[in-house]
Amino acid sequence: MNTWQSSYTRSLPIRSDKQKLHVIAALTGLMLLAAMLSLAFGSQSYSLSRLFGALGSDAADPARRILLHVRIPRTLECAASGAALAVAGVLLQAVLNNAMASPNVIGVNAGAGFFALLASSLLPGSAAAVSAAAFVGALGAAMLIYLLALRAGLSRTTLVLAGIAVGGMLTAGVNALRLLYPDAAVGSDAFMAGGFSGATMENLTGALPFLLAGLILALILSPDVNVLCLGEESAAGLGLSVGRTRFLAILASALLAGAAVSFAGLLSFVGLLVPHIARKFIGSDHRWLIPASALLGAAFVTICDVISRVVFAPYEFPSGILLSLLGGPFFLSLLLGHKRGRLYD
Amino acid sequence: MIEFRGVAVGYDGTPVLQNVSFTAQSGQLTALIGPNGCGKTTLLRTAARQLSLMGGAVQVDGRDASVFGRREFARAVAYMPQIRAVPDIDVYALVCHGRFPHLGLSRHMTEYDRVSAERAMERMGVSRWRDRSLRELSGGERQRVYLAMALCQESGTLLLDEPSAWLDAPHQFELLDELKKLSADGKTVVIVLHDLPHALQYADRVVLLSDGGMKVALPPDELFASGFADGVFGVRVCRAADGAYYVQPRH
Repeated sequence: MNTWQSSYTRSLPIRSDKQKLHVIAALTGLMLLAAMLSLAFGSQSYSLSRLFGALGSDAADPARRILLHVRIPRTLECAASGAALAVAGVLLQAVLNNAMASPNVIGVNAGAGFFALLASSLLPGSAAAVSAAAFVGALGAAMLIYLLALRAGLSRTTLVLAGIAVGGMLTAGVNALRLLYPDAAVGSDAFMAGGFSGATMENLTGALPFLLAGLILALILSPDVNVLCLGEESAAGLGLSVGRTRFLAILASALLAGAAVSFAGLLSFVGLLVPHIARKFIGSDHRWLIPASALLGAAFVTICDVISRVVFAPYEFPSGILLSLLGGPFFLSLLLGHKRGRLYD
Repeated sequence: MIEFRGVAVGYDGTPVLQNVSFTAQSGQLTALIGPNGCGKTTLLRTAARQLSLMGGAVQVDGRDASVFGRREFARAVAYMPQIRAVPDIDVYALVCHGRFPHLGLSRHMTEYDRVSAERAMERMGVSRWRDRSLRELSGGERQRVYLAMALCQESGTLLLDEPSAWLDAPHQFELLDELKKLSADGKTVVIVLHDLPHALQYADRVVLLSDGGMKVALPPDELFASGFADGVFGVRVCRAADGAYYVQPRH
């Protein structure tokens, strides 16, 4: 085999396990920093020492009340929804073998949103029912897309097209609900754009079981998702149960997207943007990519929410709008800055 | 060893090939040849359990192929499809995927698994690209990396669909030499080839497919003597004084 010559001399930046650990540590630091900022800043800003002092003070202290009932739930919601949507995006991109896939693009978020809005219209005031309905909607949309594409031949183009069609119908459903139940769907404008102005601990705890189940399932599946990325034939040739792995990954992404939508509304872009940025830092091994995306998603949404609170204070901007405003150009620069101008072959 | 007994293969209930019977022995290189669209790939995919059998039986190492579990089958038979994804991972990571059927539920690689991956890379001469991204390699280089992955499965049988496609002539010969060595080591190697002289030159047994069935399965010199290949391909198969095969137009 001596005549075999390499046609390239440039080598890949080596991403050793140690370097990947450093990336994870840096992202963890970023997320903690974002959380600190989110606790400190708002229409009323506090120094860190004031915040820690408030925790120990008596119940009458307004800083303590703001921290416990506004800032902490809000920060947790930002981090949880960012992590969940980012991981859901990673899974859908892998399962559908498509860089364009994300819970937002293929209609999983719209499914969750439709059912969440339906639940809050019919059963006002029940956070648990909204979370469960959002999960059902997300899973229903994801499975419908999967089954439609399975019938039409499971090519990645049909999958995304089916997703866009289903997403369009569900978005129409969301809009119809907003017209039919204008009272029940209070704040539905904020829901459509995505935001955290009404964050409560109750909303979060209703969604938490779904979110944790989805995250754990995603981590367990990560080695099998790596094999799935070799393509259907190669993966099956290695003894992977392709259908089961796909189904479980879709289930996990529905758990995550449904949970996030139930309290954060229709946040766009996180599920598409974050996996691509995380991949640049840590590579395509899902055992690393999934935790990295979760951390980056959490930090990204939290920072956007802080900015949306601070820039127009005392008014607030739905963070979902800012997310897209910041995310869009960043994503484009990522695409254009890549060598040969091609991120994906 | 892989044995075909009256096998029928096809898509969506329409048979492409019927009544195919031959045995690919261990220690031999078996080549499937035939005109474009004759069903070579379909036969190979069915043997790899990627397609369901439409009739007959396939036996792997003396057992019916259908009774194997998924992973168990992947430990017995490695399959390299013609069209493969190019994920953005490094060469070592791809070759390590060959160990997948051997891993337990935790999917944890043992020291043996890692050594096996290094050995497979060494054997296919891809160790020097160990940390390179698959996307930076040429088509032919990727081909060798995928072969290293198949080797890493440590299966007794290798089913390879057009392994020498993408390669220029010297590298085609190198690859076929390497496959020949693998079969000499006791593996059952079955390859789909479209190059008739290569098949005659390198294979221990050539399976000629055409017109919805198997014409013959013969050693190359007997196939040459029979003249079957001339008829099927519409060419004149010739043999030079040094034993090398080549083809010429009929007229």
